[in-house]
Amino acid sequence: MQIVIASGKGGTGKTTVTSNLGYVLSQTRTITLADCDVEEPNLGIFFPCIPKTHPVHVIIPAVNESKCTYCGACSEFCRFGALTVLKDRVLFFPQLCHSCGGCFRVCSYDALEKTPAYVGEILTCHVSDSLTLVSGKLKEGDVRTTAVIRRVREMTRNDPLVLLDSPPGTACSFIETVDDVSLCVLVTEPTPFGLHDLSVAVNVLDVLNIPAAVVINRSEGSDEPIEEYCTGRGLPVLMKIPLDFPLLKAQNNSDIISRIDPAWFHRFKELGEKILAYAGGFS
Amino acid sequence: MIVCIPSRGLTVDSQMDDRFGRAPYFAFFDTDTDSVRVEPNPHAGGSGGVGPMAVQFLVKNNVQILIAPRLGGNADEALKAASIRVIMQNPDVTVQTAYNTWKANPENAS
Repeated sequence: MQIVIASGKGGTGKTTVTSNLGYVLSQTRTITLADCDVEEPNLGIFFPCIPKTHPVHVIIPAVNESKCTYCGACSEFCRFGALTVLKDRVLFFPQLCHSCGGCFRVCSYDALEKTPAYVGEILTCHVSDSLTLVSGKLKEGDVRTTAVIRRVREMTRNDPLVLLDSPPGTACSFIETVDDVSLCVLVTEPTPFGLHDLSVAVNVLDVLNIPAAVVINRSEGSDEPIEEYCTGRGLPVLMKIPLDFPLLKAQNNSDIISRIDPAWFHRFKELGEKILAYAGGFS
Repeated sequence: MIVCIPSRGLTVDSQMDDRFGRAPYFAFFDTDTDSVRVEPNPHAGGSGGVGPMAVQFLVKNNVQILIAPRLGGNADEALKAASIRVIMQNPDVTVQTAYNTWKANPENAS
């Protein structure tokens, strides 16, 4: 079963929720945490270990000038502008290439050779007997987030219970992370930005037909706008996390509040049970 | 010889655009006749990589000189490869004025 923790807005507490849930659930189950925030994976901070590294490559074109007729079909197809065909040469801009593979299909002269390009790596480690951490890490400066996320998902596809820490936003990398999962838990905060980006994420999940539930973080007792929105959209609010100094302190010490405070352990255990129930009666 | 100038509008009285790849129009001047033709930039709304795409559009239109205010790195590289000469011009003028200024002193322009 695959469950995503996402947010729309950045900095609302995805990783706080994921790390606590991961720790708590791993006490009674076998669980995999998958860090899909490949531009800045940070789950590893809370689960230090020495990982195994698996490089991720994508396929990009290399032009065979002896076969190329400069017909321009590849550059006409490439909507990213990565291929520019001039009268007597082809320019390839690797930093613009999204590795979609379209140019290989439209070339009638077999003039493009498939060449691997390194885009990042997957770090895997067994934190404990019941907790595995799989983190995607995009090469600095690269844009092909989805290739790295896809590999994280491939490597965890057959695991019995996977919690995926989503990248913020609702663009391609978010969609790659939530594709075909059982439930997406949206962590939001009671601010206008939190509500706005929550609603954008809910709309995307709606289109993808993925069930959603909400956790309100940094709750200070005035969550009405978020709650009204959730009621209107039929979204369950599974938990409210107050603005809590010991929790923040634990985070800042790269610790997990559930590991040091039994009250918090209990709250996140409850959240975990609710999530599993919503995701389809996992037992 | 064909000279290209990015334009905000469909006429030569329009202001020059301060972008290259995302300029909505390109004006193509024929230096032999001083005639001009303005065409929409098909890549203006592209998601990315519009610089090299625009260069390719210029190549198709046999452009030899581009009068523009500033360029991105990818566009610059493609223009060099295509041997299109770039004349820097402050965009606070109309397309026609930019062309006239260059034509009055084509060798001194940087």
